[in-house]
Amino acid sequence: MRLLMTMALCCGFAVNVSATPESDREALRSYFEKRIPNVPLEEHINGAYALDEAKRAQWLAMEDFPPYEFTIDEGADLWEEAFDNGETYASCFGDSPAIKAGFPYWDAEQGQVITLDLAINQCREANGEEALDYLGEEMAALTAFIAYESRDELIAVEIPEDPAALAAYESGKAFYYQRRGQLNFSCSSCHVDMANNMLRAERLSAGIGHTTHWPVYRLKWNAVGPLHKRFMECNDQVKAKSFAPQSEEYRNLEYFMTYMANDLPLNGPASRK
Amino acid sequence: MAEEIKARFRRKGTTLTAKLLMPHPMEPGTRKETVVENGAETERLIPAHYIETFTCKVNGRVVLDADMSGSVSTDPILTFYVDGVNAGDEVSVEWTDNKGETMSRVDTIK
Amino acid sequence: MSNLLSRRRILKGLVAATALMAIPFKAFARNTEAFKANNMDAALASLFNGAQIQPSDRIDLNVPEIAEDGRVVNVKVSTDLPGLQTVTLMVEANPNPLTARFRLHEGMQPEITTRIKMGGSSNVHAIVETSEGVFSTMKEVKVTLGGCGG
Repeated sequence: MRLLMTMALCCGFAVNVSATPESDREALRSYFEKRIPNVPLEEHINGAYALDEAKRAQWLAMEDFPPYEFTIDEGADLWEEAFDNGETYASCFGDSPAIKAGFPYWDAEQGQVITLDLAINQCREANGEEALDYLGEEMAALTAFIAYESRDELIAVEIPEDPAALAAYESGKAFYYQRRGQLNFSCSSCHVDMANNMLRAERLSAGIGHTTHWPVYRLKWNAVGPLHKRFMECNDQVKAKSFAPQSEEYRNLEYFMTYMANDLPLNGPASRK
Repeated sequence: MAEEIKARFRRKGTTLTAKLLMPHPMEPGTRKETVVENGAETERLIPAHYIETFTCKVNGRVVLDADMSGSVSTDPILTFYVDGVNAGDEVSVEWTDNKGETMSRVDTIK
Repeated sequence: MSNLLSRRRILKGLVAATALMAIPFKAFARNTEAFKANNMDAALASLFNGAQIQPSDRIDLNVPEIAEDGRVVNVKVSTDLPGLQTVTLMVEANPNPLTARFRLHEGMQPEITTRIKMGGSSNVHAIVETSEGVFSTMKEVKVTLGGCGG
């Protein structure tokens, strides 16, 4: 508690320690509405493209016929393909692949946050299949297909009345606001305090709606990749220790960030720089 | 590599809008990658692998042909417009790469 | 405006425009030499055989001023110059400047869009062959090193 209070004093955005997740979300939304008043809140699901016209034009040109369409098709095939035991992903998730809006969620039995990627591997293992590499092509394709099918659905992450679930949320929130690395930045340093400012030649995107458009076709990767890979790169870039994809730290972080994006529409997969 | 050329054709009157997305790594042959061989890391050039020629025909007649290099982006797109196209016309597109591999598709315009 | 005029030797009394139209299709086979050329002078010489290349403001070369990523730069070329036959794209600072060459046959509207790679900031040139000669234009495209997204 005291640590959070100390952090609040040095940031532009005050972290209210007696807050609930819902009041956190309201506060963050108000903050961005005030800080970047000419951009409707929902537009921030497009990240820096909501803020930079020239970049937005290039992005729209990419989205006109994006290379991730091939990845979506591969994902569609993978979704249909039966496991060796004859079951399919539908056996775990239901017939419709439009499942992304409910992720991540708190699983009381397992005592952990379940992300879509983790759920996919748990489904595979429950059906005698090997887990997929979280940074691999197959996981990218499956999640791209699911994201595409889930487009336009409003994010609806729940935090049940369970102290353990709340603790996971708070842990993710603390991670977001915690300075780290040689450059001593927190996620909030760039994406809350300095959102809409320039960092070298880039405009910093607002830290609301960051999870809506994943997995992403990053021009830098020349491929579709997951949110946790971007977390790893962000940590590396401030010369902080990065965590493993689907580690508890990153799942809790995703839980917090996605809750902040509740009521925003899903718009993945998307093309990004 | 994905399996097919993606095409979006839209005819308005007798003008056809053609948008193509063609799966291909478009490796120029000048990029390097690090590989581990016998426990040691070495750098090697990724071999050139790119579309060399592209052709689009309407009812068997070439309307557009292109020569490309590895400096065209991965999974190339092409957008172009053809006049004099009617419903029922056949549009075929094909690429051939530097390894002699080809991919094509044929569509009947609505 | 293209400064090709100041940079290239201009030979007079050249390939007649009508001769271009009379050249049979197979003469337009992929010009390997031009693609291998590691500078624009050599690529242009190989492609256009010394034909006069005039700058023109009637070619619309649509490229971003600052490219988000050099791997994928959207390029749209259109022109209202009559009798368009070919469109050639060159990235001056690329190791091999000749990037793509399009031949537009009867029925094609004079416009083409594609995405190209740029190794770094460079002038991008669009050279068009028409029934009235060879014309060109260019634009500078900056390719930046990103901030945190780099």
